Amino acid sequence: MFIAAAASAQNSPLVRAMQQETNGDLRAAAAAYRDALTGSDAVAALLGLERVFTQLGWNDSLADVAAGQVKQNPKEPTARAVQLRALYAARREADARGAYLAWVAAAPGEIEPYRTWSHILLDAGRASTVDTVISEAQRNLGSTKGLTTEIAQLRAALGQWDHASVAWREAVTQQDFLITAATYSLRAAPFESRRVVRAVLLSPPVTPGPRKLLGALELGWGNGREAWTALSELTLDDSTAALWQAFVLDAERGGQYIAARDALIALQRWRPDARIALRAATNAIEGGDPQSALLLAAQAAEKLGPKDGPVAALPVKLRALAALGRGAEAQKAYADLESSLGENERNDMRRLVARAWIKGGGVTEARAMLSGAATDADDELAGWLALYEGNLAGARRGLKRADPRAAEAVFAFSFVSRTRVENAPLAGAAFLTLARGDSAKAAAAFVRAVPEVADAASILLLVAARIHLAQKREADAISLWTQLLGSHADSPEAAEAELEWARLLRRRGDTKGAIGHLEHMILTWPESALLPQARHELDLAKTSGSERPE
Amino acid sequence: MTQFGPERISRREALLRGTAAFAAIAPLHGILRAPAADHVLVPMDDGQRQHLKAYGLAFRTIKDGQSAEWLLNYRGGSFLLPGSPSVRRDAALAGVVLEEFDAAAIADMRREVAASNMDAVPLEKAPKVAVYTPPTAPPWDDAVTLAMEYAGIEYVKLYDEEVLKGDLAKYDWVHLHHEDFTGQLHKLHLSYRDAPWYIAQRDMLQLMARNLGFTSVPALKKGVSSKIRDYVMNGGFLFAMCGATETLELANAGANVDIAGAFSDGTPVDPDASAKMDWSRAFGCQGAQVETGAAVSAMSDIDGHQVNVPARKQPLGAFTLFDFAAKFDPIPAMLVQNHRNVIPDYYGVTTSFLKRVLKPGVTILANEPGAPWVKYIHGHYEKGTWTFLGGHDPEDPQHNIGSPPTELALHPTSPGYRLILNNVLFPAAKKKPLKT
Repeated sequence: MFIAAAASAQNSPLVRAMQQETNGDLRAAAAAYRDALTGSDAVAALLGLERVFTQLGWNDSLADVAAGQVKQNPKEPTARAVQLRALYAARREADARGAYLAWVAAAPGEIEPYRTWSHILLDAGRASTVDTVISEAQRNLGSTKGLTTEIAQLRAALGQWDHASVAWREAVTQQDFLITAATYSLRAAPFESRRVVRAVLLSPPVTPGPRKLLGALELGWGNGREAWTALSELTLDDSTAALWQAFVLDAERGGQYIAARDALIALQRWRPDARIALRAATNAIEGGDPQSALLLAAQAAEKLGPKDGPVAALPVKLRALAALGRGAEAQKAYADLESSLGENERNDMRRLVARAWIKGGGVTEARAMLSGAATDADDELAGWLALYEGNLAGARRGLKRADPRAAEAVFAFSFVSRTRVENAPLAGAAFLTLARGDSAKAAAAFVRAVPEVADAASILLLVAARIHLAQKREADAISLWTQLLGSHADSPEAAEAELEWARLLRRRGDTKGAIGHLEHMILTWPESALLPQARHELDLAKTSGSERPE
Repeated sequence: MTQFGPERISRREALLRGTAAFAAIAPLHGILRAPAADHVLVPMDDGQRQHLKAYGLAFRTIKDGQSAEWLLNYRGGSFLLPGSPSVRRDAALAGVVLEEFDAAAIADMRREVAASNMDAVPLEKAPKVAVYTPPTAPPWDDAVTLAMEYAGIEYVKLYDEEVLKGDLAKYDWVHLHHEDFTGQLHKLHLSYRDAPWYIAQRDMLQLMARNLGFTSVPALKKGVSSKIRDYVMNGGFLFAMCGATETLELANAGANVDIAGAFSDGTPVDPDASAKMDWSRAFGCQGAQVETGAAVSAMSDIDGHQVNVPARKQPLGAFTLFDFAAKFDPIPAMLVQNHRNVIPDYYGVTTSFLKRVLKPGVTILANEPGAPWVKYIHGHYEKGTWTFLGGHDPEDPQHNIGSPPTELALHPTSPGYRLILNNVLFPAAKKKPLKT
């Protein structure tokens, strides 16, 4: 009996039509769907027909078929909806509006006609007409309760972000699954309107829907910490903890490591767990806060106890110390536990210690640590060591793998990539001096290295000027900028130097001087990528008397 | 018949086309170094990246004594400027896109202008611009001063004392800050009576009224409104936005009627105020109903949107600029030059003007199709002209008090702000005899 039923289903026009549609034979599928319209699967057949007719561009024909279905069954909402969509797609807007009004008359007291027509108009960007539809629903039904989502979308489409936020807040409070739609709708809010969105979603009472929505919006806008703030105020229970765990994943995926760290810390406080603390520490390092990573690693070690804790926390601790350039501490932490580590672990940990030494300019110590560890010429650590020796060819190879988020790595790599010189001991020594934290000597060392690397001299002059500026030696910085603009006017750093010079003058209150430099920069390097910024600063300098509060 | 698809062209044709493409790109790459034509075109269509600053460039060019033409309806209302070093330098600093325009290009352009609904209007003299605004108002509090600061157009600030002294006569063009000329501070006391900024503003106005010999702020503002009316009657160009439009009309039409609430002058509004208004004294409105409700944050029914009255508030839509015959109706044509015809609407204490209160003969420059209101209107009054644009800030549709200031560097091509700058520049146009 089952076999007979299955065979019958196989032979039904609907199944045949679906197979033909799947196979891409749209014309045959259309004919089969038409056959199926007369049977018990009329609704499914009509929807199938809508799909294939749309692909074939036969919207006019679809409208006629749907009209026939509506005539047969005036209360069937799917046929009505297909009819509206088909008429609108066929650019027969007046007919579509007529069909909508006929539906309203045939189904008094129902929200569906208003909702469907609003959706069609919203998709077509006809926001002001949707407003009329919603008013009609309000008038005829006495309420727009079933149109919360449409009203929210309408307000967003009209740029009424305050009303849109209020409407979406109401919608997601009632129906959690609307958060994705709400996020999509509100994320288009321009920068200056986001404050209003925040205010609405943060206003009391604190409930999960609006806070989840704001969390998603803030993450999308790149404001991880604000996203976490929105979620952190929820009452902590199992469902909130699950929400926070999901947030950690999203934040990590979006590179918002500090927000992920904060959420993990909160989770860890709720139910102490060393693994969570270690993950928080890892996020702290990725987010550029190795100091807090050290604290979190220590907490994790304490929780795990003296037997397992120090070893489990060691990788994170060494990564943090490496980021801080604290070689001696890293070396001691490693030495204390070396005997507890396996061969592979020892190799990895020694590299981290070496990294800590390199970051602080401890070349000899780093070499000693690496002597027992496997390295190759393309290794980043080898690249740094080569750079400090003045072996620019080696540095070029090794620094390709450096972390692009680290400013010192970006600077070093841009230098070695610009020059074709293979060996430059003075330049290497300058980088080493800088790593050791002796800024005053580093600036002089970079200037001394200029003759050695003529094709990258402008980079060295610019960085030397920046060091002087950071140390308040403004006259020295100006002297280097003058040299750069005079002798290396064709280099990309020339425009940058002049912009920095103008900024210094502006800070000193020399508006006229700043304007002169900005104008010179704009006119001399019209193709510089810094031009929009320079023009903006020129505007600010010219109107400095009425400068806006920051 | 136009054919689509690959076409066969000769090698010579290909080379010519390549050269033309390069010529179009070249001005963007080194404006000062490009081979200099006698003239440059400042395109105002989508080829421009700094529409607002382009107005400043045109203004400074004529102020510098150089010639300029405003090409109405030609590529979004472009400007033809001399290709002088000063113009090129100015444009480069402002980031305004220029196109080299040699004699052949100019001849082509003139043929097109002659054959179409376009015109070339010489700009002969930079207008002297004044903005009526409190001395302490920051530039970002008002869209016009914001636009002029951004474009680099010089202006002078003046306020009640200067207006009453007769200083308006010194200027060709006057813009009104979003003042309430009924003297009621837009009835903001209903929401902000304890706000320090409100108290400071109220006290400053009361002190000023006393010092200038008036019994109340409404009396002072009526005196000022009358002077502004005289300025237009004597040939001045007036531009107003937001609440200044509606309240100026009310103050002038109600010169002899008490239209201000007791909170501002100590006496209640005349309950029969609407019937006693003398609309012949107003520029563009007539027959409006004065709002006498003390607790209703509205001045009259001139405004269609009533943003501060929750039960009456209307949603924002979009408004459409009208087309005008550039050769026969140059002033309205100048006022609507734009690279967009449809512009999203924005609120102000007065957002729009109900059609039913407009005098016959008022020129509607922009409306919202299907709505009972219009957005942008213009008219003559005796020897002068007036232009009203509803709303406060074209790039801040909601404009709530306390909102951060608009950063025009983020909206350098703003079509809404272009409407404001059209007004600043049109008094510079050389008047031509009408071709009737």
